[in-house]
Amino acid sequence: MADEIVKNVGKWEWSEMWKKEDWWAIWLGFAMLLFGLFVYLNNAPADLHQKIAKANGILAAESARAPFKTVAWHKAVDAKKKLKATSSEAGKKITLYTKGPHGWSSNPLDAFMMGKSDAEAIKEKALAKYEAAEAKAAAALEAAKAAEAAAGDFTNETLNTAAVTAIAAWRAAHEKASKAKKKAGAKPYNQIPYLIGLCIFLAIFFGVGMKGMGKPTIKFMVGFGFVFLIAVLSFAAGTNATMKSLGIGYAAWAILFGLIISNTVGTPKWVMPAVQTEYYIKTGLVILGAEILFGKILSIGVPGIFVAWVVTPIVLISTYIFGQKIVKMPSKTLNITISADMSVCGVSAAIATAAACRAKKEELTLAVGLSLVFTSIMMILMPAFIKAVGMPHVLGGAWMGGTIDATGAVAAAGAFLGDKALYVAATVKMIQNVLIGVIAFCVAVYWCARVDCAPGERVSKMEIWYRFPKFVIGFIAASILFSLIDQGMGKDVSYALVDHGAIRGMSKIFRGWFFCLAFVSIGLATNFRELKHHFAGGKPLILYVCGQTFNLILTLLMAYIMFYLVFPEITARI
Amino acid sequence: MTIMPRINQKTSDVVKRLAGLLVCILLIALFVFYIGPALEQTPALKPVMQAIDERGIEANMYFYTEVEEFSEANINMNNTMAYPPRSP
Repeated sequence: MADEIVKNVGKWEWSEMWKKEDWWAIWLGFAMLLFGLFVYLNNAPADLHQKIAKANGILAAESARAPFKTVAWHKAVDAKKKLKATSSEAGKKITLYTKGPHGWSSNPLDAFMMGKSDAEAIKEKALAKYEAAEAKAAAALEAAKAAEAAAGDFTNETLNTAAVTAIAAWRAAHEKASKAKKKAGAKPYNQIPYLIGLCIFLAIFFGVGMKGMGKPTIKFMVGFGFVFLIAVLSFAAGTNATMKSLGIGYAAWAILFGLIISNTVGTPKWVMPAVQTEYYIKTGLVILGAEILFGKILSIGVPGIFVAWVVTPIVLISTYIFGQKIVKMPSKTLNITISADMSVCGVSAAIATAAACRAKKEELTLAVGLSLVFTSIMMILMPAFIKAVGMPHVLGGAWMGGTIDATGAVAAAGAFLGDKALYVAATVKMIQNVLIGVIAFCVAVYWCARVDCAPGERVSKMEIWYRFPKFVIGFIAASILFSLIDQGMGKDVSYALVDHGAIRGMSKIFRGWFFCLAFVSIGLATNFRELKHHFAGGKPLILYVCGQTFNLILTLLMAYIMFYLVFPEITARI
Repeated sequence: MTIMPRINQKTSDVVKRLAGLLVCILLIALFVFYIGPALEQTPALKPVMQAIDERGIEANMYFYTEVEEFSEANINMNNTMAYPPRSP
């Protein structure tokens, strides 16, 4: 990566804004985000405000009436959950045109197309399961209602506990029925024409920037088809049911497929103009900025902030210092990238940090690889340990949310324990995800001011600006803009129009594609021997293991202090 | 005279590279279709794999917006904080 970037050293020229990659990443990223906002703000669910007001009225009344979350309380939340701009016609079309390969189990072709008879067969099989799940959920609802009614004025603790247990059983059955319903909705599809259309669109989208930067646009577009094809295959491998369960996603497959091609038959020369790792990553990161909403950090109150925003920077800085002073990591950029991916949130943190400090592509590959391996291990071991020792689920959830790197694995580990653990784990992880923006900004400033200069050199503020990776400005600006919109709208409206509109209906989709293209490019441009050199002495592994051990101890300690000693009333609410 | 050995060398190089690619593809297929499913069935992994399958969790995703459970957790937690059950 470091070899491919354009360094802004020593002076500022306005022409940079239409000639340099960093700025093109900003313009393209913002064009996409603003388009997303325009589409989804104009496609709000019908009677949005009235429906939210009605649900909130019920919630307020139930909150004042009962000492636990009642059936009506849950139903009111369910009603708000359904309000999504992505469910509009425009949202459905965007999803259809930009969706990657579908999920599959044994036949890889199912990732791309499915005939009517196959879809009917799947539907029929799933329908029986759905009907059984739905019947169970209906029975559980009746039992929950009866238990709640039996609790009467809620003065009898035993009856209250029985009602809480019955409601929890109904929620679990309801969740299973909802998931079974999705599977029962199988329809025939052919994703190939849409994928071809998306390839052409993205080739033009990035081609505009290539033209602006004065790079060979036609050659880029020709090579882009190949890079896109490998990205599609990577997504297809990641949508396999087994790979999903094992936590092996598109990033791992993209790097692996790229590496296999470059180290066996070799990356064709005509593809190389489209191997633009930095360009894809920077544009993806600008778009990712929209998903970093600062309002999320208060989701679980002060305990969540302490577990995610106090422990994480302590672990990150300590691991980096440990890497420099004790492990004696030969590369500072590799050290900070591993420290960030281990302490913050795996792959996405590694990408943001590596781009901010201009790490080499092999260093990012190594950091991502370590994170993926340990994520899979921790996803299995942590919930098993929590269950074995009988750790409270709120504590276990906070512990897993603060320590397991990859976001999807956190959800999997939490779900294994139950809804309470899942919700706490996911919330803590989400708060930690938001930290990426701050980390990327601080790393970029630190690198410009302290690392990328001669020993003892004092770098002026202007010099920091010259050297600063400008795409980080776009990343932070997108985060601030979307955070302000999110706060201005209020949580409920923002959930419907921003979270389930411009973010999940636009940013998430394209950011996934851009990162996948970047990982394919990394693989296509990497030699196995270069990777081996960075792993010399096993130092990256030592750094990761020591840092993660410290992370596990400190997070558990902080979660216990915050959720059980300082704020037990918040834990009781959950 | 020197052209033929050079062509032979090139051909054997191409064959080696293609063979390498083929072996890698076979190893991947082996992992996806045999080793992975076998791993899923091991007693240590099976309970977590079942939870993932039942809830349809995207366990291999990298950011909170990619996983539906995070949206569920977020809206539940927001409403829990805004409308908490009254004290007993």
